Amino acid sequence: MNAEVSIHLDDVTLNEYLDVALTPDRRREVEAHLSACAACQSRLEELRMLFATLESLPNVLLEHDLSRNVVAALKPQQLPWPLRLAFVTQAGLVLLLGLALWPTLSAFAAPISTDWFIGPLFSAFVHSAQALAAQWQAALESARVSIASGLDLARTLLPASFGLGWGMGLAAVALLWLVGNGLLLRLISFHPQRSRS
Amino acid sequence: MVTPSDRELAERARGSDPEAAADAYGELVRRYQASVFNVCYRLAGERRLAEDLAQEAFLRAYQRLNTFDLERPFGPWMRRVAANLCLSRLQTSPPPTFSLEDEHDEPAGIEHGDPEAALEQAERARAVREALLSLPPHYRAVIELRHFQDLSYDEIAAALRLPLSDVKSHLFRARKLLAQKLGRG
Repeated sequence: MNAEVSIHLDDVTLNEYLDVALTPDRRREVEAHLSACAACQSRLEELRMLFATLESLPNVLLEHDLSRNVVAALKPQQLPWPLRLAFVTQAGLVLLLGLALWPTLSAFAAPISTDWFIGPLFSAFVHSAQALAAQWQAALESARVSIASGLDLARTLLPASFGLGWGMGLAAVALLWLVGNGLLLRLISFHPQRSRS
Repeated sequence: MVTPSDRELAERARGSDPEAAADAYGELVRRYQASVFNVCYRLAGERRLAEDLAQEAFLRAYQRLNTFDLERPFGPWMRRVAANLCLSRLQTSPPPTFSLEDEHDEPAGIEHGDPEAALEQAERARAVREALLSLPPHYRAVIELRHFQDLSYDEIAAALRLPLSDVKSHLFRARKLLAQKLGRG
């Protein structure tokens, strides 16, 4: 054994040799050593076998298409048409109810004075809003008369249950509101589930 | 009809129309999902978890698509994103136990007519996977990037945001441990 071979290559050098991370000069030195040192050759071969074992690890089959969930998560969510219809119907019914109740509500709201706790500026704003509301009320009055005539017709059909009719109407709108909002919230919180295709 | 290149799909996926962007990105996902899943499976060791991680990696990559250099290939970038995500997940919340199922390894390299050889290969693969999973996550990550993604030391250091010296020491120690586990040390 000559002097050059008596100092064996360390593990770092062997690793870097196989990773092709040595400088060309150092690589030549290592190769010169390896050609003369059976012990280092054997250690290098062990390491090379480990590399081969790792790199021969076969791939595992992916059993599910991931793209569907990824695309679903990226696309802007659109409401399905029945839900959109429910949403529009819900909004329309609530608007109608608001119009029908407006005279009553504005009658309650008109006498409220805010001067004593809010101040003159805001009070002036409220008064302007109330004036605008009064105009609206006048405009809606004619519509209300038409609706009332329609209701009169309904009352003749259901004479004993006019109050009950209003209550049922309110309950129906409230139910539609709750169901509609529940569906919307459910859709918003929907997270694309794992789909097994 | 000409199949769009990865670069074209990546450009479309960066576009302002969310529908078209999602569709283009979906095609990229279809192209690379198998390899990304395998990165996650080698690192996480559990199929269900690997699928979730792969999916999350694609979503994370989409958010960072503007940082992707269109001049470079998409696949290696995507697999690095996946390896990084897996490493951070495994470091913060490692799975309680690793249970390697009887995996359906892809038949590449298996002699179809020789069940004995196939069985032997499956056994060998199982032993390698178990040895990999016995490593700490950061050792696993450097092995993944060096041996399965063929990154240089510098590229691994950049991908994992580690000093070069740490990359080397993790890699060499990981190999030593693997050799011991596989009866080569």
